[in-house]
Amino acid sequence: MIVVQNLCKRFRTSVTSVVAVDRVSFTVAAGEVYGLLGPNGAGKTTTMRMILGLIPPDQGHAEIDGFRSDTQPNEIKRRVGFVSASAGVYQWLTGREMLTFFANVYGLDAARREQRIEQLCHLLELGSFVERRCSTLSTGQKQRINLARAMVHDPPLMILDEPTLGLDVVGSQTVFNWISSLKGEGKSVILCTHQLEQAQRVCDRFGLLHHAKMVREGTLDQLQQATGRIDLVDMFIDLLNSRNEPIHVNTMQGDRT
Amino acid sequence: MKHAVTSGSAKKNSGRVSIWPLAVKELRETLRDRRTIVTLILMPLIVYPILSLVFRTFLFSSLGELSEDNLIRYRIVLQADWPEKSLSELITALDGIATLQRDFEESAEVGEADPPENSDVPAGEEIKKQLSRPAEEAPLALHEIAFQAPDPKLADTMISVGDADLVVVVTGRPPTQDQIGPIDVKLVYSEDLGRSERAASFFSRHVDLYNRVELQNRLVTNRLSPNLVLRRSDQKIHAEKPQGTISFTTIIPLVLVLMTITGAVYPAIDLTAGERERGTLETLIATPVSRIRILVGKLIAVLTVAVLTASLNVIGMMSTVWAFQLDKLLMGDTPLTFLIFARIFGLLILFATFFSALLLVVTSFARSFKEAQAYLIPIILLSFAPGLIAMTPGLQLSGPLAVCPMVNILLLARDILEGNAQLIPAAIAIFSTIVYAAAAIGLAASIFGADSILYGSQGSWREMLVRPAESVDVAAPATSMLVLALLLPVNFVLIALMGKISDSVDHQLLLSAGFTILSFFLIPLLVAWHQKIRIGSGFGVAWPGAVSLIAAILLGLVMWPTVMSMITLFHSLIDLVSGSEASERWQQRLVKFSAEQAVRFRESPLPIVVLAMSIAPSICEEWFFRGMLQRSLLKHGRAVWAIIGSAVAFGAFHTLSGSVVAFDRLIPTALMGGVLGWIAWRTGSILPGIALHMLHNATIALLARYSPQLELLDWFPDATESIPGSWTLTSVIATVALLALIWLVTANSRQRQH
Repeated sequence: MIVVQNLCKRFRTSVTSVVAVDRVSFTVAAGEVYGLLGPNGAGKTTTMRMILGLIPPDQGHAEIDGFRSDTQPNEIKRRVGFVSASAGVYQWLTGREMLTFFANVYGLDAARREQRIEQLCHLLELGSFVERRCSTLSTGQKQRINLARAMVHDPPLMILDEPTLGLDVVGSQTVFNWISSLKGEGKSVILCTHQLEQAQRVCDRFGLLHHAKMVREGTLDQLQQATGRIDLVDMFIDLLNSRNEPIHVNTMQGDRT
Repeated sequence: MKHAVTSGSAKKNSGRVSIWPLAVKELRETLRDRRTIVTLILMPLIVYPILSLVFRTFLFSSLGELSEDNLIRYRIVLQADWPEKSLSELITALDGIATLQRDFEESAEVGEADPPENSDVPAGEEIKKQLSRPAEEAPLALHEIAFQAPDPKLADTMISVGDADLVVVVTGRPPTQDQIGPIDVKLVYSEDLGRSERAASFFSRHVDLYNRVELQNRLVTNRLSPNLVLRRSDQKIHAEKPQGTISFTTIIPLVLVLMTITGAVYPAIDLTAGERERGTLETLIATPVSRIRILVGKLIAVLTVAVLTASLNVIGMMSTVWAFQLDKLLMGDTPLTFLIFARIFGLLILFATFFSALLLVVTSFARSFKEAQAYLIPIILLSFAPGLIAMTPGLQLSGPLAVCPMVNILLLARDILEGNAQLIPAAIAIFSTIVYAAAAIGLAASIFGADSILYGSQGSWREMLVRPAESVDVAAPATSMLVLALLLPVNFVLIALMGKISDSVDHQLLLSAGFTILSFFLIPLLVAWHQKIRIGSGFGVAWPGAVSLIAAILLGLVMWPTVMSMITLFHSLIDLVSGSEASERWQQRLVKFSAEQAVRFRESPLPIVVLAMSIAPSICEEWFFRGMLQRSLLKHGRAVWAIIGSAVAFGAFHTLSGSVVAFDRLIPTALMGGVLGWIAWRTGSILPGIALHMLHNATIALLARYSPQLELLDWFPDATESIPGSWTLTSVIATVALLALIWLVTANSRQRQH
């Protein structure tokens, strides 16, 4: 169970101060894929980084398996596999060397490490290029190496920030199929994507962020009922045209205003 | 309720991750990058041979032309209305005399023939001087010699356009079998052309020598004594350092240091800004490895590449110097041994540590490769400045220069190459570089992976200087190390300033007190204010308990015989180690210095002496060394290392007392610092230390001030005598007893705390 409670973050510069995340709360159950959606600049990436403990929140915290991101960030990091839109690969290492490095960093012993890398090679079909240097790989191959890297320590939660950015149709399809398969393994997933049709297919619940606030939250049915729209795309367009009033449809923690 | 990680693999993750895989990954990435390989291997392989070729071309074109046998040959034109045969004979005669004398000189050198006292030949030393060939000139007959009819205009033109280095206009009767001369020999050359001037000098030596020998022969023929009226002999002594010229011994370390920098720059950028740009830094930060470990992994990689670059450069330079036989030319009589290079290599490692950490500080700020390069270009240009300073002729490794980063390493390397490195300035240079390296690493650790840099908010430099939102109990080690690194040069400059501002003893004592307050009190206080460090906990300003305070006061009164005897003992040890001659010279300087100090204490009003020697140093030094520094180290490490660390820093600062570097004070003062540190740790307060320090210093200063009066007392030892053994023994016993008392009274309170 992942609990995100009242996260707030304000970025201050010498001339301005921007509220990036404003009192965002949600929960994700085991085996659930949670779609954290919103337009660019809504605060999705900052929320994810705060959950992972990469950025300290001004207020609030995230909790994974009872460990809090503000007090035990390393315990959180051990339990999260993180793939961001900007995640790169070590161009001078081979795919296998990169996976080995991260397995070592996560403290896997040699036997478990080799076993896990073989599993991931099979799962993500890395076999044909895992021995090649990453600089020679295509965008899709690099992203598959990155997904394998995020899963090398077999974490219970995956945080995926636009994992299909730059991938072609087939590549995106592969990634979304893989996300669906994660559900079967009992893993929780927080997914941030702009591919709304695919999100509609794989996510169990959604949180819609706009101007740093959580403006709608719930299952697809609940969102459809609340908005009178069928598709997420239409909901999104309405959202962009609407004022920024938070409308909480239903949450696992009860209604809030 | 907390749950264990659900997956099997993550269960084993609780332990700390070793730095090793991090460093190996960084190194693997860096060493596979062809850009690293270019700076690492190709540069030393290509640069040094090219440099040496350029150097040789430049050097020898100014000296004269070199032939295959490495001898200089000038272009000499003989103008005369003589037959060529006569001119050839003249050259042969001049060359013959020179060869004769050279053969003689060489045989004299190997001891085959001693010059007879009243020989027809000039004294050996004189010949040596006359025939000295500084740049390996070929024998006269082997030079490019051309003959032509006299033509003054042509002579001028030939010299001006460089067709000839020297035109010799010969007039008079050609030599016959019976008689040579009188012949007029006019040398046409240009003083503006070094090569032309040297050719003239070369030819003149032959003419002079010929005249001398000929003259002596004539005297002997006419049964006159060939001995000179004024007979000169030379005695060569070991000269002081050559002044006024830029020595190659300075250029060699400068080139090595710059190459080391070159080697470190690329990996430093690539592993920080480059990682960030490629999007792998965030992935790394998202792992359960502390940022300091990630940074140390990167530092190891950058340092390794820098050291590899340095090694390959040293090897490249040594091979080139030997292969091109430049060692004699560059170094003169000092052979370029492997040991010398090994020492310089050690210095390079030290310097590389400092510079790698500095580079990581700067590149950690950058969000992209380009930005990092923009930051580094000024840094690299700036680092040329100390390099140029170090090339100033006659510069000594002493005073502020001994603590000036990079300059001290360059000057020390120069001294090592010249074979006259001194222990104390070397120790100061090495110690200060270690402090700077530690401070740079601390700073890099505190900013590396900072959110503002990682996530690109604006004005990250400014944010680093913004005061933290919340107060902290003690200074971060990075902060206290930075203050220490700042105090080192500040202290040196202030000490150097003191003598220049005023000659008055009173003024100097007051300045000394003022500078102590500025360095050790106000600067740490300012930093504490800026970093919101609580004064009570950050500096240990707390009530230590009455018993501990009284015990410290008593210690301040009874410890001086122990400390004095320790200094005496240390002097004897120095005698043993460094030989009595060196020790005597040193002691003379110290005695002179102590005598000057005693006079100062006597001449100045008592309150000024007490303020400058006791009150100001005790409060301010305890404030920084046992307060800020030791407490920040205590918070983040074991007590024993925190106490040793602050004590060594305390001792090192006391070696730099005014006009003399009192190295003998290092160990006794460090031990004293250890005692003060232990008391501060036990009592959790700097107040007992202040009391002890103040009374101890006051006692020593007053003993010096009133020594003439005290010496009138029968029982008091005079300045030349050492402290009586019974006094020392009593002092040691009292010291141990009082320390035990502090240990006892603090044991209960510490137990309660636990």
